[in-house]
Amino acid sequence: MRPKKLSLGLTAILATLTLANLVTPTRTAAQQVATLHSFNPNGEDGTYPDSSGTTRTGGCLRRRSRRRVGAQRRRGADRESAA
Amino acid sequence: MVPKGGGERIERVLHSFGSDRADGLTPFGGVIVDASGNLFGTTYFGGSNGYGTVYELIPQTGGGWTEKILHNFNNTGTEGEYPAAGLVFDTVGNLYGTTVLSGSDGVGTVFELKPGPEGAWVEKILLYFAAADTSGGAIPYGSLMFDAGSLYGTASGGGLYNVGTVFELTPEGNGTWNESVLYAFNDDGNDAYTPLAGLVRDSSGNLYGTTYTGGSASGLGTVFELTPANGVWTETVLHSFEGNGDGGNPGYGALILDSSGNLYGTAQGGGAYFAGTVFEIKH
Repeated sequence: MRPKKLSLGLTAILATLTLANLVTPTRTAAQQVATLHSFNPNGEDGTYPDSSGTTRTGGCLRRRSRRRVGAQRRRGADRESAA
Repeated sequence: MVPKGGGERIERVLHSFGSDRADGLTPFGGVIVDASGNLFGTTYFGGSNGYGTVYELIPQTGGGWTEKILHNFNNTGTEGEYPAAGLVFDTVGNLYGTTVLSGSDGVGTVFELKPGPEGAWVEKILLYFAAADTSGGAIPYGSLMFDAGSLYGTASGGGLYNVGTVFELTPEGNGTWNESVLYAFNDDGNDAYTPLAGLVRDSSGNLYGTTYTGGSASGLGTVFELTPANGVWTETVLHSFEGNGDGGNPGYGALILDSSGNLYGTAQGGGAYFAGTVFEIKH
């Protein structure tokens, strides 16, 4: 018996779904990470954060980082990243 | 930081340490606040003995803050030395913290400060970390977490593989506290090790933290989860830092857990400019 031919439209849909399955990443621990901010030692940003942060209403993160000013390293560049 | 308007904030210095020889020096840990708005923290150095302090900053009517030293650490052998982490309150206002060194075996303590008569605070050592105890931890850097009557923390060294532990301290009811090692980290090339930060706990009782080193990628630290089941805690490394865009070597700051179960933290190194990152571990 001759198999039924799939319509061009159905073939396209199946191909799309197959491709989507192939390219959709498996949810692994490594792929759940998002970098919200990379500190930049450009003299304006903080660098090398080593302390706890806190949150406030509105979903923004506040962190303390060190800021290098000339030859001195001082704390206090208070950065805000919208969540 | 005080709101200035327009989304900006200005810095106001509440206290400058080192005003006299008895003052604390070099606060590493953050501060906590009580219901009256008083701030409590530690200094790593300084105080009357030079081995660190626990201090309180009290807001004054009309402005200004007054510092009160609640405890001076000492090198008596039975005392703790050098508190690196901040403090935590229990439900009745007692303070708990850790010292990195000393105690009977020189590798750190967990201490309690209870309000005493006439404004004094009474210190009690709850745990002496012991170098000779191969199952216990040593040299705690992270803040403690108080939850359901118990204290939870990390030790950067010690344990079965001598690369750190997660521990729980439970009151025994007779004034003593019992230490349970929930997990001993392993530097076998895959596991996390050397935790420097404290822990957070979700509503299911799972614990989350970071390690400065270890992990399966580049050894640049991890985010880990500890899950309890029938009295046994199982570790899962949620992320091993690679040192590129994701950051590397998460340090002393504990993770933050939001209401959706997402975790937020900082890494000292790595990132696009190799100067650290703020990262999110999505639930």
